[in-house]
Amino acid sequence: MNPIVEVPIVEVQDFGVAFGLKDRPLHAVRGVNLTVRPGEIIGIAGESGSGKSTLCTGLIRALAPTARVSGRVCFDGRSLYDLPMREVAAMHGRDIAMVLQNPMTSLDPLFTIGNQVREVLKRRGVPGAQVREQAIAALKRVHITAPEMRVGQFPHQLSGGMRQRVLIAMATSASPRLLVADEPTSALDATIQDEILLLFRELRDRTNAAVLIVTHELEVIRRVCDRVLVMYAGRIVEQGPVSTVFAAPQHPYTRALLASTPRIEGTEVVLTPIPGQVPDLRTLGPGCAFADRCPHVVDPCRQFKPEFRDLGPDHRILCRLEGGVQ
Amino acid sequence: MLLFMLKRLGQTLLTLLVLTFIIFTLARMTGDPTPLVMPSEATDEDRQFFREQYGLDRNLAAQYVIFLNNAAHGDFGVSFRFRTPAFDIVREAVGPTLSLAGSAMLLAILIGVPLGCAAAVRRGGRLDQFTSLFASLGQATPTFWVGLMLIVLLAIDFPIFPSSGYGTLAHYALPTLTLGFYASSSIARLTRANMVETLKSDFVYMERVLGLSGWSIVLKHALRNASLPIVTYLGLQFGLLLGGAVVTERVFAWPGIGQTIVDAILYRDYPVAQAAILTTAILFLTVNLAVDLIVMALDPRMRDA
Ligand SMILES: Nc1ncnc2c1ncn2[C@@H]1O[C@H](COP(=O)(O)OP(=O)(O)O)[C@@H](O)[C@H]1O
Ligand SMILES: [Mg+2]
Repeated sequence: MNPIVEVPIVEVQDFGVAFGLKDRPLHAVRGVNLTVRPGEIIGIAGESGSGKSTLCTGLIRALAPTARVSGRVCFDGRSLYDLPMREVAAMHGRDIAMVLQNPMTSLDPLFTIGNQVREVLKRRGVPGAQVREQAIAALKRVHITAPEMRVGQFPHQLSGGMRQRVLIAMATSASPRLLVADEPTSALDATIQDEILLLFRELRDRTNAAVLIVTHELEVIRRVCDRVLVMYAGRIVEQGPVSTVFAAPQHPYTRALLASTPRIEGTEVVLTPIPGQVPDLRTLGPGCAFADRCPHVVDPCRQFKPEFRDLGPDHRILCRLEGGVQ
Repeated sequence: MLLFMLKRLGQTLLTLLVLTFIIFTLARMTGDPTPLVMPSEATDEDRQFFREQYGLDRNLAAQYVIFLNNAAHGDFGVSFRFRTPAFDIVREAVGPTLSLAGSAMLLAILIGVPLGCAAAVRRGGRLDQFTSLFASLGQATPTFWVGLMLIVLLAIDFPIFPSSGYGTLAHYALPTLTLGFYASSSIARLTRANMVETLKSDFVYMERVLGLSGWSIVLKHALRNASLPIVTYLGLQFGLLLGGAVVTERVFAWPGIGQTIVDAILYRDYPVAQAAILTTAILFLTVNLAVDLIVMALDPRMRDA
């Protein structure tokens, strides 16, 4: 991809997030090690409740105030959780951008699109005389038709896809170095999904930003992303290049997840649901969280902590089974 | 939008018509005013003359039609008690009532909104606890007791303000504080609740991660969204103060419309009672209409509805 080895934009070491009572914590995320390089698009997959949103918001220090964080997150070489919040807030929107799942509720209903875009631009220090013009330019960049008219409209007068475009325009107005998109298309029609995803690629191509996309749909990751993270019960169980992981998934959960997405075989649409239930994060034992649902489970899986194993360049799984079972 | 306004105006007029009927009927149900108005030594002829003069001998339907017709021309008849036009008596009471309700609301907004906001922003903090206490006290304490305590404290023990009456600016102090205490406590509570909810909404979170300033998020975006139900509530409160400040008016001998209504009913002074209640109702409906307009100005979704 990138001929020269670049300095990572995000480096995460042994990152964990816990909610709830101190003596009965819910570990939404634990033991995450991750490196994000500029210009790469990373997809995060996993069943709902596996900690995808928590990880994403944790990476940019935008968690709920009740969250307890452990480990270390470095953004551009600076330890995010050691900085004063004021400095992190200054990075939000400028170097770090986020797009949320529900575009219907993510814009202030009482102000026009133009007003909200202009407020963001002013905050970025765009001189007053240029704000109008740049607001329209920002909307043009996300392919909003008739932006001159849209700036006078209110959010409720726009479709969901339009609103998500506006939000992306606001989030990326300052050419961020990292964009986090938490299920950016789940609330939208399938036809609009591709157009939105294309915007992320355009942003990456234009600014060399790193993009993190959380999604339910593995197909999205296959088409758009360079690298994939598969999460289960708060841990990354497999990460690697999309081509490698999709061609030969190594973790039993990744395999189950891939098998559980609908696909066409001959004339039929088939899917194999994952048996069992997502475990309760409060009562996890010491062993592998997937053990109860794993077709290849052996005794040690339940007793001992699973360990990371590197399978190739950038490809690692959290599983004790040697090389997986093909 | 125009259609909505016309519909709203039509509704208002219909409400008024129904109201006149209710007022008219209720006033008559309290009994014959003649014995209360005429001196005890008046002869039966005198009494009959009084009834005829005021149309009280006609049947109710005829009385109602006459009443409506006159009312439409601003004529509510002559007070049985004071023998002056009923509407003049009411008009004199409207000023004190409106100005007291206005000053109490102003005080309530100035105290309640900032307090509620600050409490919501620093949830669980000192100020939040104080606000909860203030809200509970304000809503649990009877108005007359607050009024009396204020008189004891600020008019008798420390004679800073006059204890009762109407005329100078100083006269406003104690009744305004009394009414404002209750109103500000409920507004503080409502503001806090709405702000807490609004601060949890997606767009506030989005604005945070967009790096907008905290001031803008809280005061421009969150407060404006939270203010919609507050404005509606303020209208209701204001409306209630217009007619329902009877106790406070009593305690401070405030020559307002509440007292006028109570006295008129006690003396079976139908013309004054009818004029006063109808005036209150019109003021109330006007406030409601104004609230609708303000909400529409604030909320573009209402304008398109
Ligand atoms: N603010 C919070 N307070 C308490 N628990 C939370 C909070 N946010 C997330 N969680 C819990 O953390 C776990 C992971 O949630 P989340 O990160 O939203 O998963 P995903 O995005 O993969 O669906 C869930 O069990 C969820 O209940
Ligand atoms: Mg999520």
